[in-house]
Amino acid sequence: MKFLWNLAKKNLSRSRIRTSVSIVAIAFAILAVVFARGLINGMLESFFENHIHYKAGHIRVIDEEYKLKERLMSLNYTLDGFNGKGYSEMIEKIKSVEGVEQVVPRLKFGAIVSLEDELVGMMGWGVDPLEEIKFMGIDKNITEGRMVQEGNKEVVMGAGLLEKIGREVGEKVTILYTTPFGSFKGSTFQIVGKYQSDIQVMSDKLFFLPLGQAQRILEMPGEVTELLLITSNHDKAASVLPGLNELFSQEDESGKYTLQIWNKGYDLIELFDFAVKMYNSIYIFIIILSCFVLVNTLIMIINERTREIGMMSALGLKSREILYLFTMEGAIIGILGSALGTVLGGILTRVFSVVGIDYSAAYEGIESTDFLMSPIYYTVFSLENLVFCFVLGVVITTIACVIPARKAAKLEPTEALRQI
Amino acid sequence: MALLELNKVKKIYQQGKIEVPALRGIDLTVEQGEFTTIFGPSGSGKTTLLNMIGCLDTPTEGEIRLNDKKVSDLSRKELAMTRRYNIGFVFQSYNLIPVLTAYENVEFAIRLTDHTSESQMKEKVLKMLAEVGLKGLESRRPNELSGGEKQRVAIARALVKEPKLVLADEPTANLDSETAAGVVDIMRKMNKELNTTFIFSTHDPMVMKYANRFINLKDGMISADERRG
Repeated sequence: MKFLWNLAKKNLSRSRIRTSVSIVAIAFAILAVVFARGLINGMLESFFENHIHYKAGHIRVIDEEYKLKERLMSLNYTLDGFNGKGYSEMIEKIKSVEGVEQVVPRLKFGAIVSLEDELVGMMGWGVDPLEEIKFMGIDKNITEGRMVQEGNKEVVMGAGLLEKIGREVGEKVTILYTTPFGSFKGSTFQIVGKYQSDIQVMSDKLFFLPLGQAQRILEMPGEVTELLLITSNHDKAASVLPGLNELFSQEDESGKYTLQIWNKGYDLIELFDFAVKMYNSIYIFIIILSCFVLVNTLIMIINERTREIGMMSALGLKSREILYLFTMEGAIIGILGSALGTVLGGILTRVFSVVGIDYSAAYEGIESTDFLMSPIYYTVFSLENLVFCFVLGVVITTIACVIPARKAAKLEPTEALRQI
Repeated sequence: MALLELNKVKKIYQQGKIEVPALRGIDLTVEQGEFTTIFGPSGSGKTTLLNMIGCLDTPTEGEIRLNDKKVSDLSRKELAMTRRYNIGFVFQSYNLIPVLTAYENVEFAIRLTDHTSESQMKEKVLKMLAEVGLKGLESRRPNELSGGEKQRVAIARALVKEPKLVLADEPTANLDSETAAGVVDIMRKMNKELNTTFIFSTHDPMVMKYANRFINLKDGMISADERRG
């Protein structure tokens, strides 16, 4: 078979232009797939990271009812620990479950700031500053001032929010809010930091205050709205669930708490799951489209070389060997095209993994806290992507080549030899 | 034992609803070492007969035995293997592979059958090319060779695997008379030296001059079968 492989290689030099066109067609398709996968992976990674940081953790513990009222930032369905013993004890018990590396408490509530002629809506997050620094690296996003400290009556506000309310770091701000008991209250805080987020809605609406302060002003001692559980890897978070379920079945007598893994029960995440499957079909479709050029080339080659096929049959080549010869000719084009496309796609992906693609204009005006997309996408350059696309290209093109190659293999030698 | 036996071989082609008989019952025996020409007017069935003998096609009726093995009802794969090991072909239009050199074209045939070492294979190919007078032209591609040289490469390709039978379909039709004489000379030489059986289809009187058996085909039947010398 080695000599047939060598012949297949040599045959490609018969019409260099035709071979080159086929290689370029495959290369373009693979380049597009490498780049598209890199971009989609970049978008997803960015979205998943934001989703985990701002919303879900790897696993979230919430009140079953809170899930339904979350958009309203309800304070009526909170976590007050197992059987009302406070969230701190609950955290300690959760931390004892194997696989749980960190537990981040948050108390989320709605608030407003009153300006002369306008009320500015905000999201207040009562947080444990040290846990947030460890989890989100929030201190890196504070472009001015510092993170809040537990015990102090201070806030860190989003850069957009500060601009909107016309305040600066170092100044004071009076925040208005409603307690779970319906009292409308106001508290004044020192602004100690400016938080810069690339997600517009977070920059424009979010402020952080120490968890103790949030509990104090909202009259919710020992309560939080959610606990975010962090494991070693979000993709393996599901493996921690059995241990947690066991703990909750033992400790949560009321059964009011629910464990929500990061990729289940969130509409957008499930939509992305579906989208990824769809994108995979699109990648295959793109390569199949490019294969039409290759199949067409092979059909031309076979038509031109019909007599030669007859001669080879006369020499005693079996149908299987003729099939192999022509499949290999196509496969070599597929390999070269896939290799070229992979290299070019890799270069393009690498470049955009550094410079990014700015989508901010498209996201202007989106205020949903569900849509946690960063406005600049960075493609993901990974060896896995390159290998996947190369192999996919070679496999699909080789399979496509079998169609015309079968035509060659099925030719009757006498018919083939008669061909002019 | 005869090398080749054809008993009442018929070949009918179906053209739509019409049956076109190409061979109407051929009885033929060819002994090892014969140098036979098949001649006859166009449409007399020469090529069809060569195709049957060469295991490129199977008869509609009748029996073909090659080397005492019935080949007329073999499968496609078995026919290919029979061709590979027993039959060499020389075509009117040479049918060399243009991307291969003269050496590689000849090597192509031997690689299918010979599983000896690379060095022995190389020696065989070079020897065969030298036998047909192509020493020094081994590395030339077909487009760098004359018509006569191409046909010599084709002959070397047919003979290098040492088949029992070589079939040549009008091998001199595309050659001038002097070149044709050279090519036939080589085949005659091989016939004598290797005792290879040659069967030609030809119109060329010069080829016929060298033959020792003449089979005249007419309307798909043998109208004359003469031996000479």
